[in-house]
Amino acid sequence: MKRTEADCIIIGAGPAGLKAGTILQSLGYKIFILEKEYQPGGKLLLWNTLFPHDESAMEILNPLLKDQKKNIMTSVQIETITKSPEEFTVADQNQTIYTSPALFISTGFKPFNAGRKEEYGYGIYDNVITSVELEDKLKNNNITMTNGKVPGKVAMIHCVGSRDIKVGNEYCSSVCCITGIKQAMELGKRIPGIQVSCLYMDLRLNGRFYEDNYKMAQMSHKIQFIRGRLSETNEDVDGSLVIRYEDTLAGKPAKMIVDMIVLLVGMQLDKSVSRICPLINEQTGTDGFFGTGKIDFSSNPQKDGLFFAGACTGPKNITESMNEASRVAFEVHHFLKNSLISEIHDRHDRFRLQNS
Amino acid sequence: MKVDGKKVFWNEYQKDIADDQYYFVRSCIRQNFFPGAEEAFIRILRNDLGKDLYTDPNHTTCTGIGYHVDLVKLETTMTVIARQFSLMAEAGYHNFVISCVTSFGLYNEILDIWEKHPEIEEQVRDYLYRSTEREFRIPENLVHASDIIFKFKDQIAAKTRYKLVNQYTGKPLQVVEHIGCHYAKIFPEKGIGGAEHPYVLAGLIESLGGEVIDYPEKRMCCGFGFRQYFIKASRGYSLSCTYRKMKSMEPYQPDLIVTNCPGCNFFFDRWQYVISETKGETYGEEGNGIPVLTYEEVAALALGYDPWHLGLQMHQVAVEPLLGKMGVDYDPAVKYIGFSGKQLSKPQIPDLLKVY
Ligand SMILES: Cc1cc2nc3c(=O)[nH]c(=O)nc-3n(C[C@H](O)[C@H](O)[C@H](O)COP(=O)(O)OP(=O)(O)OC[C@H]3O[C@@H](n4cnc5c(N)ncnc54)[C@H](O)[C@@H]3O)c2cc1C
Ligand code: SF4
Repeated sequence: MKRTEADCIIIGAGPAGLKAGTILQSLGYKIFILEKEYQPGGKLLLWNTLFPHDESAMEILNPLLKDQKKNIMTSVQIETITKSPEEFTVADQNQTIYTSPALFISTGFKPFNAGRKEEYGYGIYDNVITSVELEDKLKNNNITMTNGKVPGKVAMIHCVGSRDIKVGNEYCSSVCCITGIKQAMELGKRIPGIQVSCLYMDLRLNGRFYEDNYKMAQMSHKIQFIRGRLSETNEDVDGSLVIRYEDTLAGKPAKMIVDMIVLLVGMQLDKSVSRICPLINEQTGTDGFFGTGKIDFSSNPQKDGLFFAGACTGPKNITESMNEASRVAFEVHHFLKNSLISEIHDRHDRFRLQNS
Repeated sequence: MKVDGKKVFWNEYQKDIADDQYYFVRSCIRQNFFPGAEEAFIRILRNDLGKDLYTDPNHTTCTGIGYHVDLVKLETTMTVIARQFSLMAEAGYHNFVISCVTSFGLYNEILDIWEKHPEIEEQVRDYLYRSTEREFRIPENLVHASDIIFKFKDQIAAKTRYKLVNQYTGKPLQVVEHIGCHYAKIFPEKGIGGAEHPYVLAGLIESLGGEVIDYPEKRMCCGFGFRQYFIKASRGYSLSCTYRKMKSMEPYQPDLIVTNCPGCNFFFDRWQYVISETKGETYGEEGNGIPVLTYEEVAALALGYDPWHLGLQMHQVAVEPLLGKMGVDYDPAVKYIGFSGKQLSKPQIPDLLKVY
């Protein structure tokens, strides 16, 4: 059994965990970032270019990894997380024990399992894919259907697994509208003449420069935006996809034939740590993400050394995830500083008691 | 199409189906439309599977059609259903088997009301007692008759004389399966395979050697839809639904349509004739229609039951092309000879749709 001590253990090496790691390290703390995958980077490893400015995901990731490699442990399967009054103890599959007074959770999100929307045909019809799979196709510059051909007509379906009482996720995942726009424009750039239609519930584009992207999508790439809800997908004899939806502006049922459907999947909490640690599980809010979401930080769970940031506290884009991670990293700093001060006071009191 | 993908759903939607000792309630309309179907179910269960099945001459309609067209009040319907349960207990049975899909949906709806509102169940107990001095017990197991055939599909398949395989080509017959809307669309968890990709008939067809067609309008209503048909003014709507389905399945060249609902069976069968007269279109080979059978009729045919004893001459669309493909040994000369040995009246020969 190997035992390692640190000031703060960060679980999850996505943009949030890496940002917090960079700050805490720069403040002189000893940290460890534990990542379950074999590579650090979280979703940055999966995405191609990023909204709102078309930046390359790898170019955002590389500076976050700089000077941190020695702190990052990958392929770590955390088996237990326990807490004593002084510290957290995290044990992995190799019985390596990590201890620290502060624990920083940045475990991010899991994309919604699109198969749960049975009527959308994911997992059944060949050319029904998710936005996560489309990112992979864009990254590999291989936007083809199962028959090897390039799609001529694509429908992007918004709100898959979000704002949906039936699947138990009533919240808005906040980034899928703009992700759809980003991906639709990318398809437009790469496949001349492609027709892309976005079927949205209502467009939630409340991030900086999102509206610019929306305008560009319509003006430069002729992306069609239809206020419509998909009701079912079927496959025709030639392999094309027949979708039935309600045009909610016209108030009429409608039909469209496309080559490919992209389901803009929402975010869900990655429950891998809450499942094994009741203390962390207790901090799950009513929407299924960590924390209360209240403006008053003192009512948030960042006490007793347990901290949360990034998409695990609710759907966010990368800027917001990293901003929250930075703020919370400074709370960790205050916590560690205060712990140190109270430890010095305790030691001082003990010393006085012994010598009086 | 990924059939393995469908299997994921099929595995998720399983339900308990009792093994033996069934109390069987008949449909009001099936015996008029397809007089041999229920009889075939009873014979398969008793003679081929050796099960105990009780048919009670004292049970009545469930009021389903009256209820769905707003002629019968919910309280009346609930009391009638409570009486059926009381008859079941009196006969010494616990497992309730329903022949009709409309009834199946209605029984489940009422059980759901009682579960959520026990005070309503109490009230119905009172209504039943005051009107008939009867008491009732909720069945331990309540299923549709097609669930039972599904449960024993492999046992049936092991005993069959004929397969759903084209004897001329050696290829599986192409089969459309159509599930009545009220089988699983109200309560997906009560249907084998759920509501979107049901397996109750697909499983039987596969076991008998056929291949299921997945066509774009698969999930649409057959056209019956209660008000669509019962209100005379909207019958055109009923017909156009069936027409849309027929056009959608046509390119797959189906050899057979199998249904589990009295209405669906009737409308696929009879409307093919009306479509042939009004639109001049037929959907089978050389002026034939696509034969429409119930699940028991298919199972019985495969088991070697005589097609005329099954009452297949009562179908509007001639079944001879299917009998030929399956290689069924039958005597065309006795098609219109009744059980009594008397000649039944022969149907008039339509202009277009072939009749033998
Ligand atoms: C299809 C799609 C496209 C997107 N495109 C953009 C975009 O262009 N621009 C943008 O700003 N945002 C985009 N987003 C949003 C962006 O992905 C998130 O904002 C970001 O990933 C959140 O970062 P995070 O670090 O909180 O979580 P994540 O990126 O999810 O990282 C969490 C990390 O924690 C690890 N982890 C989880 N559990 C454990 C455990 N038990 N033990 C160890 N490690 C664990 C995970 O493996 C992962 O590496 C997109 C989202 C989607 C769905
Ligand atoms: S961001 Fe858009 S697509 Fe995503 S849940 Fe919200 S409204 Fe739906």
